[in-house]
Amino acid sequence: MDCHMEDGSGVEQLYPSILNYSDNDNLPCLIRNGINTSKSIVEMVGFPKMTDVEVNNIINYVSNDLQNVKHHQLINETISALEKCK
Amino acid sequence: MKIINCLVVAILFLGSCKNDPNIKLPILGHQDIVGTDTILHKIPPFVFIDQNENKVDNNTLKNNIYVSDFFFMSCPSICPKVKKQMLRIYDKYEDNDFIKIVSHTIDPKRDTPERLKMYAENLSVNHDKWIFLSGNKDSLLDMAEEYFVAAYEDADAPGGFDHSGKILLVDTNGHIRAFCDGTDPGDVDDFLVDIDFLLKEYEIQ
Repeated sequence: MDCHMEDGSGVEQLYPSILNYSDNDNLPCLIRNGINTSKSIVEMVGFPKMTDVEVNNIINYVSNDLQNVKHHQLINETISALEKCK
Repeated sequence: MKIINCLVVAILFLGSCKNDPNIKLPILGHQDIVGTDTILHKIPPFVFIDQNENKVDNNTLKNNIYVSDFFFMSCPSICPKVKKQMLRIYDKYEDNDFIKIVSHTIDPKRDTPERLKMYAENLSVNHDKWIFLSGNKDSLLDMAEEYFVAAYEDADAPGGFDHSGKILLVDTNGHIRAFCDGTDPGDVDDFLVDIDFLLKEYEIQ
């Protein structure tokens, strides 16, 4: 939470708020690989060493704890998403 | 008469706390004694370039007090937190032209003025008020030392640089008057009080 802040509110457009992010299909790849587009002035780092279970935990944490949106991301959903992004 | 004045000031000093306008922020840093003079630590002459490619040196800032830090854009660890706290400072004094914010990059190779400009735009800040300086890398790293901010290259560190998240307050004479840990919101609360103190000093003059 160093970048998006502990409460997910972020820092202006630099480290955008993740409180409204809802594209859960994209999320596993985003977390594992980060983003490096010409749109973002700061590159979002990925976490290649993070396990599938850890990625899954983050997705659940962001939805349920930060966004207060009830969501149960299943590990096999995360794993199949991750296989597609490689 | 002088003795009585001294006593009055001493009693006032002892008898009051932070509400006393006579209490001033100290000048921080080492002191050198040269003959009968005490030379206090001061930011040395510098020349850098801001996000709009304007040259910035000591003269540019001599009529302002400013808040300063050292960072780099690819910093994944403390920088976002420090920037968030700097934004608190920016927001509080947004309408006060006397106080500016000066961020120095320690990675000028990647953090060019053009990229720093986009960074400033992403933070939605006024470019005159919050300037982002780049320039010669060694000069920038040396300058960090003058601000008592540890900053150095380390290939194993995330992003390639290791540095502290200190935020400093500098007066119109280049003297450092206060500092805080930019990663600690509580410390920044106290720092905001220090800034108000320094501003009061200039009001009284």
